[in-house]
Amino acid sequence: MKVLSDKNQTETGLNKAGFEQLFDAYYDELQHFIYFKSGDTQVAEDIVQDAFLKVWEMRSTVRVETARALLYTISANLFANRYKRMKLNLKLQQTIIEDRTFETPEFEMEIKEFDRKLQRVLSELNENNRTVFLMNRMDQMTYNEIAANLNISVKAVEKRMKKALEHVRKEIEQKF
Amino acid sequence: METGKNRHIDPSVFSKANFDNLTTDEKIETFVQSYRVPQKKSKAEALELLRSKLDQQSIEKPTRSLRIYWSAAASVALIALLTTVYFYTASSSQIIAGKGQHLEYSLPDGSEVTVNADSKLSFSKSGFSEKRSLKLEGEAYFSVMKGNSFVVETKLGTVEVLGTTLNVYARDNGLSVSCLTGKVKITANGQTVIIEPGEKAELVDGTLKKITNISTDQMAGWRSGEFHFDNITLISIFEEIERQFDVKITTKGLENRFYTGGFTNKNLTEALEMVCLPMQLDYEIKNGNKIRIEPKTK
Repeated sequence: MKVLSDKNQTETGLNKAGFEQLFDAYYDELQHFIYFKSGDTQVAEDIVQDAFLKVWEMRSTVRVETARALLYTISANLFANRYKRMKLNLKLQQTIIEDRTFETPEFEMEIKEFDRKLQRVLSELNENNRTVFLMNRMDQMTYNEIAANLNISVKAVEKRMKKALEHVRKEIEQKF
Repeated sequence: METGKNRHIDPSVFSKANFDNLTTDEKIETFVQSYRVPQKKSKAEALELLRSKLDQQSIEKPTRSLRIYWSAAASVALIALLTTVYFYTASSSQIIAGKGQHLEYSLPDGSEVTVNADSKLSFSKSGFSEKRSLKLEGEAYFSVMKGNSFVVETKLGTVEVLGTTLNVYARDNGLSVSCLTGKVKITANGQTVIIEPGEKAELVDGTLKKITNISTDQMAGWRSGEFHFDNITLISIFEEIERQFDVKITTKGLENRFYTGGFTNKNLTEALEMVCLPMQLDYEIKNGNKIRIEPKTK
């Protein structure tokens, strides 16, 4: 995970270059964050655009060391305000399936079936649990990082991880 | 406590035998780590878009000329098919997407629009930022910048945007507006309806109806080449295929039949198969662009 260098840490206010550094460092993880909540790439990209625009509007008061958490907060708020809870349907790209020949068609079917079930189970997870789970497992963020970004305690991250994993494990075992 | 740094399994080496030997947790771990979040535009394209919005904010009067660019998703699917028809005069602009085309534009106020095949969008360029009003025949997806009212006039009714993103379908066979974010007000036949995200308004037999619980993927799936239909007449589906592939379709015996499902606009045969197979229809392509469709004969 890319983190901005420490040398700007105590400065208040962003210039265009600093702003674009933020974009470069955090665009992808924020787009993932809203995708984990919404399951919709268009929604994720629109929200993150607007979040960066808002940060630009308030650039004179933004501090570099808190900018990442600020971007998460703004994105989460924009998402909560604009979208009603909709049934979502994750369509993650499974790289195991791409560019691969399988030993037998049966094995290929088994893998695809597992992928389909796993995505369904993930889609059914509670939004907060799913988001934390995927930030950790897909984007390799540590519990500390997640806690800082979402402005929650590490304990809360642990709790959500535990709930997510228990639920996914139980559902997957049941569905096989 | 799980730390997220479990034993990493290289997915390229696992075979049937060792997949079966993995625990459920290891399977989940391997699969989740191998997922990638889909993106419509690359980070570079997103930055480009953001920069264009910042430029518009810093210039008081955004009088930028109309700019053409393709979305990543659409360009992959359509670039081979496309030729651009683009009319431009000092005071008024028309955006015309021919059959088999999707066009994407930035409007003078920074709002963005994707125009579907066989559709026409016109507006007055001068003073657009003060009075945002457009005329639409066909179908278009709008991502509207915040500001004063944004009005889309169609033959069947008027759509006023109170928020940000929406899809408008206004062809001879009907008016349908879906809202992806924000709020939208539709006026038609003296009736007014306000819709919110996940909702859709449709003019059916002169009555404006509100339909709730619609997935945003389906609302404007056509932008990425995926068309979804929920209980729509087969005739309208084939009309959409005509528009997307620029072909002529004649049908026989399909009246009063309805279809729920979809097609993609990447390949004509594939699209026809997707509709014809489940509906028990035969199709025949003549000279590459004339198609005859009728129910399978027993």
